[in-house]
Amino acid sequence: MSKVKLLYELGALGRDAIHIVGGKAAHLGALIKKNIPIPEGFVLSTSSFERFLNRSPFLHKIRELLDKEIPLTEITQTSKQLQNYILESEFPSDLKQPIVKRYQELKEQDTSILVAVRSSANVEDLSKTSFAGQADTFLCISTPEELINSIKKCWASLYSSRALMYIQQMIKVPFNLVSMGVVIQKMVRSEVSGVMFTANVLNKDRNQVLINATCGFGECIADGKVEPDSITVDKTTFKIIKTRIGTKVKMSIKNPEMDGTILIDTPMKQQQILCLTEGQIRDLVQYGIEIENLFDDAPQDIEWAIEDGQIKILQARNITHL
Amino acid sequence: MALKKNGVVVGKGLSVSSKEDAEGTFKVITSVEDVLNLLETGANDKIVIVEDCGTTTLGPILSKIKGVICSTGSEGSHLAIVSREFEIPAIMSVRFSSIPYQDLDGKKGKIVSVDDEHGEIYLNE
Repeated sequence: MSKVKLLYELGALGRDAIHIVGGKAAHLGALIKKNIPIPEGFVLSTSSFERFLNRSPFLHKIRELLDKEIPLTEITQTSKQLQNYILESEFPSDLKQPIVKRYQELKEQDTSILVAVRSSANVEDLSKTSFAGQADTFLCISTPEELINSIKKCWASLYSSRALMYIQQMIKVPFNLVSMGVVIQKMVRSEVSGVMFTANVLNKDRNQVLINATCGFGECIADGKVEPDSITVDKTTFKIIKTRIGTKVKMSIKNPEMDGTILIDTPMKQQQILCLTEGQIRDLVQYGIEIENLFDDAPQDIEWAIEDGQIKILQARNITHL
Repeated sequence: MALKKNGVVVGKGLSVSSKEDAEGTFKVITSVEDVLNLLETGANDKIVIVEDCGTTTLGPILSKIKGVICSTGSEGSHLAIVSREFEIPAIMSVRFSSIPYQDLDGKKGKIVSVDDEHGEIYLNE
């Protein structure tokens, strides 16, 4: 077997590589192989995280805390300790160097590009448990320093109280077996974005696609900060069965003053109309069907974004409960 | 299980998870401390009300509570996805009509799904 590398191009590895690059990156890799439009980027393997931990002066303390089940009442305290150990550990220079080099290459194409840092745990996007929203995502990063900092914070988020709880209660895997890849991708400067379920999670109808859409970045749908538009489509005829215009009171955009995002008021005109065109809805559903076919016809929970009218797929995972 | 709808409707929203009705005591959650308190005092009969739909604070108690109510959010929110995994009813983007939701804290009531998409919050009489 060839040696596991620290860093891979997205698309170099596919579905069988969850243990190497985590669920999100493995699924994105499979999509790239089928020419689904995915923002360019790369992924740090779980070996990168292991190297970071192994060089940490707190390695033994971290291992000790993760060696046993954590009582519910101690979760917050243990989480704080673990996260501090991660954040206070130095980033090894032989790990930092290839990351910054690859980042600079992305930047050479276009100096104004921003990147996103997304978690890709080896327990993420499994068929029964999504790990949805358990680890953190960092958007709109513009410097190598902030990138390295965000990667560390992303690793630390694997040990948030909610993630520890979820791993212990839902996935039931010993903590020491859980590791995390990190996806670094060009940011899509989305005018519209959202989530698409290729089966209707509300009524369990597998012949319907359910789309949630909102203005700006889609993180505010996942975080529940907005009530998005909702569109139900017949999967066979592509006919729109139902639309509900959400209030979309707020929208997430790049923070003009620093890295990261801010919430602003959505212009009133955009609040009152559906933020997708019929053509875009059709194209989205087409991608949804292709992606579902790719993953053995298992209904998919897909995050997408539209920049300059072009659809990009940000994530695809199995719907865990139908 | 369809519960008898004695009581008054105090809010309506999107039913995004299990369509089972749920009855319990409303508990407003605003912080991790609230969650820990609930762990100590018992979360078993609680219908939890949150303003922020991030799953941040609810993780430790999702497997114990009867249901979730959130004033924002949709079927695509992480809290909705995880509620479906725990198979507990969740009503999101709730508009409270006659009473501020803070006033529901400690009172008994129900979550009732009226169709595939919508749910109502009842305050027991």
